[in-house]
Amino acid sequence: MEAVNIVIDGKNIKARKGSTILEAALENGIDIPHLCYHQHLTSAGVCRMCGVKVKIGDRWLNKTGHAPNTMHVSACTTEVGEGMEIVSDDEELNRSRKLILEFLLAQHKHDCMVCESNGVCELQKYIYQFGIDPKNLRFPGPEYTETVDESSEVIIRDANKCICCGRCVRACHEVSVQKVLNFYGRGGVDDSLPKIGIIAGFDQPLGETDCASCGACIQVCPTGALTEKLSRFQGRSWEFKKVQTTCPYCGVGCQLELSIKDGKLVKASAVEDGPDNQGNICVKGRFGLDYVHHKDRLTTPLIKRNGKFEEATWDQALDLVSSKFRDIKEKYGSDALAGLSSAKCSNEENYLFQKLIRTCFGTNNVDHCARLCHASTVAGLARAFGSGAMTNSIRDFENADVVLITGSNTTEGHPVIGAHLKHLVTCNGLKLIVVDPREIELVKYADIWLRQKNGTDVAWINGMMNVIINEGLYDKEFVESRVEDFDKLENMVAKYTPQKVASITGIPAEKLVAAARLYAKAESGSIIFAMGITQHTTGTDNVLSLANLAMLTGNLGREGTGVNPLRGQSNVQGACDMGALPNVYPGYQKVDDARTREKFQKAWSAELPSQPGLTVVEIMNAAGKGDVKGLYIMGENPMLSDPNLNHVEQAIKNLDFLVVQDVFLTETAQMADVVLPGATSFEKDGTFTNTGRRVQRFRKAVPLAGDSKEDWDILCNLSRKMGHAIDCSSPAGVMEEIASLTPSYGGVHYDRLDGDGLQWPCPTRDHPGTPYLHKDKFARPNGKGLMTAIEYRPPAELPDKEYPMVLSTGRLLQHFHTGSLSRRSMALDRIVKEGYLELNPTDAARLQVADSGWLKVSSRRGDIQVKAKVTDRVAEGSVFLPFHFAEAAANRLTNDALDPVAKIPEFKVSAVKVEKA
Amino acid sequence: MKELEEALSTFKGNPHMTIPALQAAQGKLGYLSREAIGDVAQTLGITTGEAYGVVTFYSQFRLKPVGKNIITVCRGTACHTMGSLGILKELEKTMGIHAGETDEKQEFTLQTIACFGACARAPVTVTEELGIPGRKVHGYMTKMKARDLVDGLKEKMTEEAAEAK
Repeated sequence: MEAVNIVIDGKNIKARKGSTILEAALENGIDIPHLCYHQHLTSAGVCRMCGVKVKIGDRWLNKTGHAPNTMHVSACTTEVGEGMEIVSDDEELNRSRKLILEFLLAQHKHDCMVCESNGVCELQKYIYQFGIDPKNLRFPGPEYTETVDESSEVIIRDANKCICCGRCVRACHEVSVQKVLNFYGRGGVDDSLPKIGIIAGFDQPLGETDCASCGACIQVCPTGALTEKLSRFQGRSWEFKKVQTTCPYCGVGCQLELSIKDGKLVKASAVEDGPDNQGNICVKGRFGLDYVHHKDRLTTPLIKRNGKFEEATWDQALDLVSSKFRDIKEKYGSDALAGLSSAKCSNEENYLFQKLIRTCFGTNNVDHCARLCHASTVAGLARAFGSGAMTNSIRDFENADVVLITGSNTTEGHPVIGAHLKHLVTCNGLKLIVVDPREIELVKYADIWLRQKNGTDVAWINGMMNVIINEGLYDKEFVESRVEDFDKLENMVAKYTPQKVASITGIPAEKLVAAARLYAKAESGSIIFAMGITQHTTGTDNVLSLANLAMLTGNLGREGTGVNPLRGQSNVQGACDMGALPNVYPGYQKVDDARTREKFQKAWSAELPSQPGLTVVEIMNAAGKGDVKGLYIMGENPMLSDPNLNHVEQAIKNLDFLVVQDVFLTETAQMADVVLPGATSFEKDGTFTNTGRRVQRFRKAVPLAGDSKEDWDILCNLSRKMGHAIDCSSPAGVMEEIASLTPSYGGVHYDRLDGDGLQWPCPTRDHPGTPYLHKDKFARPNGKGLMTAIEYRPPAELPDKEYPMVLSTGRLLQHFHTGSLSRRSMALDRIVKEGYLELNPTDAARLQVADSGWLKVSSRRGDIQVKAKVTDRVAEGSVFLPFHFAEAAANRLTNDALDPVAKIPEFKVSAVKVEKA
Repeated sequence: MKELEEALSTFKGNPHMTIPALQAAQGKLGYLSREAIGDVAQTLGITTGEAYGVVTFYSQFRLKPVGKNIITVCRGTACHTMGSLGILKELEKTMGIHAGETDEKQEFTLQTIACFGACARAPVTVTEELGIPGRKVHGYMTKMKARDLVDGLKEKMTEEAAEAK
């Protein structure tokens, strides 16, 4: 840190260069009063509370250069300079602060008795500190005429408590970048003009605007002007126990601060210095956690008798489960059993689960939903680079000049990363290339948008490489020194001219060339992708092609570069890392490698099978054929998440014995023979590994629901009954075992995880973790990156006469995965109640259907009914369907054709027919 | 709005041109209706709230329809000492409206300005005709000149109406 020497109130301080006086003071324990300043927002200097006197040498820093009386410098907008002498606390300054506070109070409705911000209100704090009597104000107060805006499902705005500091406006512009909140009437000298204030949208009720309900405004509001609606009157600040934890939804791993009262989760806010979210969270993280106390929670084990669930004790349930599984194993062999682990459970639980399947069941038939989202990423990146995870860190995009996003609707799928990207574009000059068949929100922020036809990704990536090689824009030094098989790639892409690519993808040649140049010429170019790339029969090819593109341009192994898959669930990275996969043990150590197997056999004192097991879709197929008889599912809902649901339903019905361990009676659990009630991440301890490879703690905050148990506890109990006891006393102890067997987690211990967590690879106790991979060499055995020449192949199912439209499926901002959690959140359910089909206006006109009109959508595999949402987000001939809604289950339609390498199904391209219902 | 399409065409996708775009829209309509602000925002690629924030910052932007003639009385210090309050009162009396208002027939809008910057000719009153570029500065105003000014404008409107017939 470069330091600047300053003196504040006689105290010598080494201030951080480039910091403001206020920041320097706060960082050194001097609390200069302030209201409009917030650490994550640009300084506006509007409240004037932080006025200080500054002297450099003999001169005072103000217009006159003489000792100031009333002209003070605002500490939040003045950068520290060498030798500054600062007075922050004297009678004169405090007199003017008092005056400011009196003015503010004159306009502020101080109903502190019932105010949600009582105790945390910054205005209240200073009014108290300066000893101002609200009953004896020198200035007459106005009448509180503003109506309280309760139109939003989650936010209450009370303009009578607003002190116009503008923090919410800046948060809405800079943090969430929705720009819904704005100042108005700032020039209002004329009585005919509106009075100064803050408006939502076009001076509308907040609920009628484009508000994303993220609550960033609540997070920064210093008073009670913006508060949470659903937690109103549920508790006051000093009554809460605060618990820091990791958000249970997507893979960003936002750090949350939970407010707990009497064992109930009341509300959540963002941790200001959470390593990857930096004070931001989305609507799900802030308002969508109340499912934990939902009345539908499973509170006792259930056993199905005569088609009906009956409550049972843990002993009865686990005895039945263990004896049934043992019977099947004895009768049909180990491979007649299988397990599906969970990307919503902790690393420790995933570790225990795969250990149980491998030791007690004696099979490698263990997999989880990563198969359905990023199996092709793991396969592709492991082949190209030797490691199948995000190469760089989440906050690292701020070091990039150009970010290429493809197949990721980031602002909905990973909202905090999406907002950060919007921020970087609007405030930091980041250039964005979006390649997506849908006109997603980020298109508005993109310099170039390429709209490819669904499933033509290999073609456009090859086309970009063709341009880059032809124009000599590739990084020759990087390619020569760090990469293999460039010549094969060069020969292959030669035929993917922009014109040829245009005919395959529909992307105009000149746009492709422009995008190729923009990415190739970037000093640091980063690639972000998600399911739009992976969920194809060519998923692995797509990923390998992106890896080629990054290697070709030398965009790897540095800050601001990389190939960055955004993982979908809170712990899908961790579940993969922990070996909840049929072909690898924890740390991607192969099951068919004899030495590795020996190591695990010794550690686990068990014979282990040598053949890789079955994947998710293969397990379902085997169940359908009767090869798999018994299935243990922990925290997954294949009856909604897997492709071709009608087929899945048949398969599950064909099982002899199904055990589902979950927190709700999901669509899958309803079909189970035994249901075991597990715990949510708020009711237990553990770790999640986020998409940026960061291992972070989540912490027990509320007691278990009813008779439910922590999932790790259930696994240990079951293993004991199965006759191969897995001992564990705590998740921390399990992590010790993981560290001893998993090189990349070798240095991960609970006592090191309390701060920012650790990014793997972290091989030893003193290793600081790894922000970006492949610095000097790749993780492949010879240290080189592998380029793979890949030809374009069309998707498995193309539109035809009978099924003329292309369906892709995906996520909405407000809901998550199969909705078993998010649809049981009051706020999220109120904001988005039901599913819909995005349909282009031209197609809508042809079908003579209006917005919200009912449609029947059918494919070769099934049909559903759903309401139309007419929008030009989708191209003509294409439709989009979110997959969260059981009553309009997208996966009744999707194709279970698989990528040959990664076995990931093609969720993103199905041929469908759309009719008016 | 159809009538704004041409006026706004040069500002497409350029949020840095917010003020000129709003001026262009106001030049066309005489004031900024909600619809017009929405159109400007959409053309520039900003939110309506952002546009509205700018509109309500500058006194040059009007949210209500104005009359055919806009009369602005300077109420700056120099004009005030030279009697501009009397001129304002006289105009209010003559036209039957208060400062900031428009008459029922939408012939006149009366407004004030903090300082027009022509203090040497104080007191100053400025007239402009809606949709016609340029303003006329009337210096050394008196109450009588103020009455004459309104009469003259009324006469001009009558003549124009006759010609139009």
